[in-house]
Amino acid sequence: MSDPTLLVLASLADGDKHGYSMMEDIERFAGVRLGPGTLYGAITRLDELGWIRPITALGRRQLEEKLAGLDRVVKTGLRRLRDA
Amino acid sequence: MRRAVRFLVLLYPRSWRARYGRELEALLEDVGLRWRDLGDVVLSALAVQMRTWGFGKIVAALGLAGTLAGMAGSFALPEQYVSEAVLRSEHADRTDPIGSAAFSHVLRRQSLEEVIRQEDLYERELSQKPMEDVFLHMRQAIRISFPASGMINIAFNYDDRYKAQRALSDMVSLVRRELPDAEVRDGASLPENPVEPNRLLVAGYGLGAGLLVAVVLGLFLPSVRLAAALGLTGAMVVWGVSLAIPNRYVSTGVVAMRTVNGAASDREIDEYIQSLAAKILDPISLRLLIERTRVYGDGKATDELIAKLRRKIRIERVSGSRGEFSISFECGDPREAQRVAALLMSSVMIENTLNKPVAVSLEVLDPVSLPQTPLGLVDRWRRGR
Repeated sequence: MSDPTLLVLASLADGDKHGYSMMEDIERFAGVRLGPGTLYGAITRLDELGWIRPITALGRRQLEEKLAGLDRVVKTGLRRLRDA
Repeated sequence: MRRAVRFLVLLYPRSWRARYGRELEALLEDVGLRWRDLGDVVLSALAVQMRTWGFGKIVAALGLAGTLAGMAGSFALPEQYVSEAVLRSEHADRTDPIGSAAFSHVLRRQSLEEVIRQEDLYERELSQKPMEDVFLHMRQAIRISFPASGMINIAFNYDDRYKAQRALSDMVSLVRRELPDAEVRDGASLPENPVEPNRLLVAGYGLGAGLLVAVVLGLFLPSVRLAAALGLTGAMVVWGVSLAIPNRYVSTGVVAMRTVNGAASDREIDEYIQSLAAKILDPISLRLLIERTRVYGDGKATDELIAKLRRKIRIERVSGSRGEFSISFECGDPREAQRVAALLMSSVMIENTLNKPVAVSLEVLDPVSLPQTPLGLVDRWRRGR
């Protein structure tokens, strides 16, 4: 899990945060430390897409779709591991 | 620290700073400036900058960055020096049995091993590779050519100019041991400048790589995608055309003209050079040259080929010199260029011996060269005129 835009979206899902809190939050839930440049690069892209500031309905929908996709991959992987 | 943070934020475009500048500054002050964050911020700033740039600016910036990187990288490449020596011998020919045996003797493993040991050559290579490989490598670094009738040019390429000279001196001694009539005309030279790396060429490669990255990057940026696609198409067309143009090489030698009483007017010198050139470039002489050298196919000399050969030969006064003139020949193969230029040089010397109108002696100052690099576009255009 290293897509910075997804991590930023997930971090902002429960409300607005400033940069430092976002870095700490992401490190806590994903175990990834985003550099300041990478973090603001992702924020810029998401902002341009109109997905954040604060997280918009569109951003929320994109996050849900991305997470649902990941969820499908995780569930399939776990099921196949069990069945093998 | 505060100043460094401000400087880093300044790397971003103004419009971006207006929106995120203060936030990024605050973040950098909170986390403290670490080395890995420094690189992360610089790269991110560059990425954001490029999204606001036009294609021209991206090409210019990456082209410049590539050129500078190439220039800097060229200093990391090992330098190569060429020491050269010129000998005179009756057996200066590969087809001469005595000469051929002598050159084989010099290039055999036992002889070269002796030179390697004497001069401590290839220390690093010997610690990593077997002697056989190092010996083959050394053989490739030695070039023996025959720039004019009766002359032998030996060159040795090495990464230390002093060792290149000493090793070549040893090889010259070996040749003289095998060819007793060999007379050293120019002893092993101490090369002043490296022949490699060609820093301009490496910088050129850097420029090319930078431009390529710019075009590829442009294809991913929607705002400049069309310009990048056009640029890529143009570059591919130019590249394709450049591949279709065959390389041309020029071998050149220089002859000095001396009058017996030491004085000849510029007009006399010019007239004499012109009279020599006229005889060498005479259709009958050129026909003989084509038949003898088979420089154009099967040696059949048509009027068209004679005219072509005439265009490829230059006999002209060396500018700024007194009584020195160069003889050069251009063709697609460097060895062929040298072979024909050597014959032209011999023809000039013979012509002078047979028909000199005044008391003139000619001396070969620079034997004809074995061209290492093909003609550039500008030189090609100049010679073509």
